[in-house]
Amino acid sequence: MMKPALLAFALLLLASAAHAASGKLVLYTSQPDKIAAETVAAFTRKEPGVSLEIFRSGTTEVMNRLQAELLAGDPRPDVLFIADALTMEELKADHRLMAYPGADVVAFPADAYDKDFTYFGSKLITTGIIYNTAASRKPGSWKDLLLPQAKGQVILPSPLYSGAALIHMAAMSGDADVGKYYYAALAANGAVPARGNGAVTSAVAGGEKMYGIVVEFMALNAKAKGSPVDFVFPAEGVTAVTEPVAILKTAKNPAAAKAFVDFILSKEGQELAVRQGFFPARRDVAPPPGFPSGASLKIIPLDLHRAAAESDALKKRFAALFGG
Amino acid sequence: MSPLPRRGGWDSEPAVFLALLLVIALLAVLPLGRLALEGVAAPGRSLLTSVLAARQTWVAAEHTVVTALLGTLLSVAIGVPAAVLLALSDLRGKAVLVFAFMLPLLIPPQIIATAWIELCGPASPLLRPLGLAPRAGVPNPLYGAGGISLLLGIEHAPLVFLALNAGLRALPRELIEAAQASGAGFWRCLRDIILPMTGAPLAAGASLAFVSAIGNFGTPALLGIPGGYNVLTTLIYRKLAGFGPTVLSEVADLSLLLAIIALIGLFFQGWAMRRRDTSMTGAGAPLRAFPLGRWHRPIAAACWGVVVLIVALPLGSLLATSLEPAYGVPLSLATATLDNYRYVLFADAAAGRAALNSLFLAGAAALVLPLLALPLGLFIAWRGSRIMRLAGQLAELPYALPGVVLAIACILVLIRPLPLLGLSLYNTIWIMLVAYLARFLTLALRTVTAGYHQLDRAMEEAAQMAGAGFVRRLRSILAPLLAPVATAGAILVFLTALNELTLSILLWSTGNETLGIVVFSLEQGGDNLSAAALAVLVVAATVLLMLLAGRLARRLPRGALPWQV
Amino acid sequence: MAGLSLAGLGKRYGAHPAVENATFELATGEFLAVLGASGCGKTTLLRLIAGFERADSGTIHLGGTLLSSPAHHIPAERRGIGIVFQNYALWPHMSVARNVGYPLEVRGMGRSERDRRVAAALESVGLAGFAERRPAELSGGQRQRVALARCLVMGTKLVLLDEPLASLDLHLRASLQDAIADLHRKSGAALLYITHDQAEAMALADRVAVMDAGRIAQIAPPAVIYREPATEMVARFVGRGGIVPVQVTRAGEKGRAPVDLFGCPAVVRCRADQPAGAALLCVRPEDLRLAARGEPSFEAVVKRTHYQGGSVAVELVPTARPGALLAMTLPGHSVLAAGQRVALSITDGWIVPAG
Repeated sequence: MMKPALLAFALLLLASAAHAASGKLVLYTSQPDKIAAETVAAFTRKEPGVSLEIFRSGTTEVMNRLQAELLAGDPRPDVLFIADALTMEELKADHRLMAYPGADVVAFPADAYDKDFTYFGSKLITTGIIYNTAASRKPGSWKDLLLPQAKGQVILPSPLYSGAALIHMAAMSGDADVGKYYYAALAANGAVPARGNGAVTSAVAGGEKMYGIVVEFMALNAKAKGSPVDFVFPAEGVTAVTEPVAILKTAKNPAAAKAFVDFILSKEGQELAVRQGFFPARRDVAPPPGFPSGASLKIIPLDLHRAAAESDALKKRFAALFGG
Repeated sequence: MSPLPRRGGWDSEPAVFLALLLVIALLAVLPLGRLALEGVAAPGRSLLTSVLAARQTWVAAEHTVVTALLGTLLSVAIGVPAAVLLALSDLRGKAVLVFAFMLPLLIPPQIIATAWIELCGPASPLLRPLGLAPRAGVPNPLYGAGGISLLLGIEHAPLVFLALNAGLRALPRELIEAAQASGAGFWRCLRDIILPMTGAPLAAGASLAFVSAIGNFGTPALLGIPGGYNVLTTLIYRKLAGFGPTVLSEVADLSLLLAIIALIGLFFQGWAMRRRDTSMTGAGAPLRAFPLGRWHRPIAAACWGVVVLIVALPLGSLLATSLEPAYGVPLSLATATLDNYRYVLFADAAAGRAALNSLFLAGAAALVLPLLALPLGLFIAWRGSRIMRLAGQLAELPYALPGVVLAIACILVLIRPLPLLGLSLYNTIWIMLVAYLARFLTLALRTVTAGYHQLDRAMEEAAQMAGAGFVRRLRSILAPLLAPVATAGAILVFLTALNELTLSILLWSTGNETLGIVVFSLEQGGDNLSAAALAVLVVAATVLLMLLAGRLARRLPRGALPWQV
Repeated sequence: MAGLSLAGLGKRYGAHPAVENATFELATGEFLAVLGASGCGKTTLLRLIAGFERADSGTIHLGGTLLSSPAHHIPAERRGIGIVFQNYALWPHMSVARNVGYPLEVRGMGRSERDRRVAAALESVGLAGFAERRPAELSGGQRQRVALARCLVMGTKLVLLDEPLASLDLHLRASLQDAIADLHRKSGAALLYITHDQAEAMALADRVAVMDAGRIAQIAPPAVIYREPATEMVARFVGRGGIVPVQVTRAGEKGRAPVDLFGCPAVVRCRADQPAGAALLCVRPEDLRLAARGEPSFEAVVKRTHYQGGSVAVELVPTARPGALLAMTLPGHSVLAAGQRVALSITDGWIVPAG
């Protein structure tokens, strides 16, 4: 009488063993070095059967490498974990991404992941205002950067070189409060572009400029280390990028890839992100101390599809306003 | 005396010729050709729809040429007097000054640029006490064409300096003494004898500076983007920062434009060097130094002043940053800390690994490339082979084009397993070595070819007469005689390759990171302090290496190392 | 004959023919000087034989082996021909011993045998004990001896010398000439000696080849070159003397022909087929003398005199032809002033063949 139950139990065990991830997983990511290392270590602890091979660099470099591999017909990564969703949208439009409908997205807000389940936001990286503590006035809103006191003192990342900055520009231009002439006003007030968020942080910390538009974790990290800077979540709200993770259609190890996505989206993975200093994307995980709570964080909404369609026009406008 | 048997055996010269052609074809032509296939050269694409038809492209191209020309002029203006003073005069402290003039090669361009931006900004430690600092809110005066040209000139002056220094030290004493006997003082000698006779190495250094300037990305990225002043390299990078089906073809087209500019520069150099018979019979008696007399103090002061400006200030700023506890915190005795060094040396495993990888790659390139350049230079300079000359010009392109372009090209070609061996070099350190060899070949080739122009062909002909075959002639006669220029080339390659970033960043894989990558990742992640500490360690280690090399130099032919006085 | 043989050898640089139709044979042990002004092609000829240049036309054979032809070229390192360069071409980074022993080193000869041969060669050229010196420490003459020693050690049967004494001062030349003559004797090799110095060529060589504008104008023993120059250029280039226009009154017979020189009749040497008519006469200093009373003579004006120790060299301008210049040698006590008119008679001459 016990035999069928035993058999079923044995089969179940076997089945679950077969589903445990193993083998080699190739990850391409634009997370900063230390953070990527922590992510890898945490995932490996959870899935010891998987050996993770990782390539990390800036988003541009990661995408260049992937592009070259695609062109040569031999794409290597199984999973992509990069900074901005616009790029993911383009990859999706190019039919490069594998849908993963089985992902557990119950605890996530709808706009954190792709409705076709091709990519999933892992955290919220918001863009706000960094200022040097020696500045004459602590800014409280985006409009403060247009004041005479801030003339020639503002530095911002260029959407021509940074996907996150492009998303920021798209969101700001679409916001009713800030208005679509915001960037023109910034340019008229003498703001200068920089290559990326790192350059903005350095410029403000070093005192070359007093104010900057930058992602929150960089500013807060610098402040924590002792740099004379502070960060403000402006009154009108912040823009956010979700640092999405996605599986490539050409993945050689889809099982391990899915396990990785599962880890990122799990409570454990989200708590790791919090420990690293990021806003979690999951609603049921608390943000890091010192951050506004999930409810009080005002995020300027963004229509990704519209932004993707407008991206060329936005870049042209930026180039016309700020030169080049 | 009983006659010797006439030498039999086969002539190795054509075999070496073909082998070299193959090497250049594989290193330079294949990757770039493959990339070019994505651009205008691709079937079905036309010039009109390509990015070459956009006005923005031509504005950027004009900016590239303008800043490169001005930068080259400045490099020559700095490098020539430096080389002349340090090779020909009795200036004291020469060894240190030579070292110092070579250091800008070691400091990544973005660090030099950052130091200068601070220097000319409102918080300038130099200008503010003098009351000359620009007001807060005024754009930094370095943004734009002037600043870019200034920094390009400073960064590439060592190229001119190294090339000319080797050439000056090869001048035989009799030539200058003949001029002195004719009544020529130092200036006439310099103008009529010395500079014309070293025209070949000077032209080599100047055109290297030009090609480096057009391919430079770090400086115009920092100084051009804020002011909206675009050059072709930043335009290429901008295209790559977008993602879409047309990106690689646009990159291929822009690279084509850059390549043409580089080749035009080369063409001018070749035209200027034609028909110049300035050959000499190898190193004769060592030169007696020109006395500076009462000009000694002011000239020494000027030299040290330039050194301070070009080297000490950026290095000092780097050092200061590396000692800060947090970026932007003013440095004082109380706040200085060695924590960043502790982190880099002990906590971060990547730095140690990267150091070994960089040493291996830079060292291998520095050994292999001069060996390739020796026969190559012979074919170009003495045999006048048109094919080889063309090959030499093609070898320029991997250096002139942005590193990212070459990296993409290498990926396209090398991602598949190699035909006979069945292995793929991708994701190994070997693909990086191949890319390094392709990129830096021209550095070694320029200096060595110029050396051949200065050498009397009778040196080789006498060896032919004695029965020495091609390879033996290269090994026992030409290599020792060309050792000074070959080592100058090796040093150039080593120093440039050690901090290389743009190639490595796309080609590296786990465990194969290089120093440039580690510094870049640290900076990108906002950790400027550790990046600065690592950069300081690299400079210190390289200076130590060069000092060590000076010790071993006793076994090298005289004049092999530029700072052997 | 196991010697050097050139047939119709030619080389062009662009449109300019550097060497044209060079044909001659060099026997084993013979000393041939190639004489000519700068740019006449003698250096190109040497470089063709050495193998540093490829022939555009014609052939070069050595000991029966084809060395060069338009279709065939044996590279220089396999010709086994010794070369002495004008600027010595000693390798500055090698010792004298290594410079001399290099041909042996290249052939893989053992150290002790090599040292022995090098020592013997250095001894031959009078530089025993110089083995460990560097070229930079030697004088010009010593360096050239090292270059000679290097050829000697090869034991080669043909040595090319490219103006080897041009960089040396006069009294050194004499001793180096001896050294070269020594090399010739001891090695038994054929020597091809390029020079622009005709006195040197005449003194050293068995035969002299005079080159002009890429062509060999004449190749003959020195005495023949001197006494019977084949062209006007050769006559002018070699020896002192004058070339003057003369009227040949009757066709030559058995090597002599009567001529009318400025109204003065004389009998001079000529080629067997010399026709009558206008011609050029080569008059050497020894063919002229001050006319005795009653002798047929012509008038000339003294232009310049040089005292030469035991003799006086005189330059004269014939009155009948102010554009010509004659040379004469008188005993050392002669006193002639510039502008003085003298009567000259001619005892011999050579009618330069036309064309």
